[in-house]
Amino acid sequence: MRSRLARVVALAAVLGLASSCLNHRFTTGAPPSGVTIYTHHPYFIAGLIGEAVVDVDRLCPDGVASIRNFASGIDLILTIVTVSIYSPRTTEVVCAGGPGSGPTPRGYAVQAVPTEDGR
Amino acid sequence: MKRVMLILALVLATTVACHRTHIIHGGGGGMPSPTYFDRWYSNVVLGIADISGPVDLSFACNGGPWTEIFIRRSFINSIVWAITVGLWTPTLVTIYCGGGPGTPGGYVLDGVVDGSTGTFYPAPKTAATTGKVNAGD
Repeated sequence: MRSRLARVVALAAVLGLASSCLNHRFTTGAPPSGVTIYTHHPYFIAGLIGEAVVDVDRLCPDGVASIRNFASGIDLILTIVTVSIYSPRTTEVVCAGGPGSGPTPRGYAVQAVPTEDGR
Repeated sequence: MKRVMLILALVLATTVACHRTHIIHGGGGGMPSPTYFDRWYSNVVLGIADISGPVDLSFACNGGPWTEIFIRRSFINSIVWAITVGLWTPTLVTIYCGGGPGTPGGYVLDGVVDGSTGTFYPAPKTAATTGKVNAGD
């Protein structure tokens, strides 16, 4: 009985860890301000149900220095305990600070050049 | 039999699923980065070690603005995970650049077409080659 329980727990642990899609890191090159914001996202059935949308402009109006998408310790524990039925994830956003680290303007500036007919 | 079905269900759920995540900036939209479109992002040893990051978003967008990061796991990624028993756990990452219509990040912009007359206005060389962002416009 004990060995069967150990097998189930081991299986749950392996499946929980393996389904983690752990650690995605991104950087913008902007200097960090020291402000770090964490957002938590629920997913179900090993991530099959649930889709997270993180709007970093709302979190960091002055720009973003780096982003990390990962499973925290609590996320992992919850994933393993529930055998991946509930498998939350965390996004860490480090806000940018200092001059020149404001939000990046959208689009490219393209100046129109007149053609031969003068328009 | 029940136990086999349970294990099979768990394995299937684990291999086909992924935590789809969109990280939006500047309202989203834009065009996929030519260097980071459906690119494999690798973690190893059950995802404990990250061997692909960090990704420089500015580089991925050729110095232009990024608008979205989309993370997911494909079926092929899941097969790789299953074959390597979690030693290699790749995912797919797509970075979107630009933001406005017709301003794909990472691409050289040739010019603008006037919709009413159909006249083509070539972009100045400096903007086209550097993709420089003008904060005032």
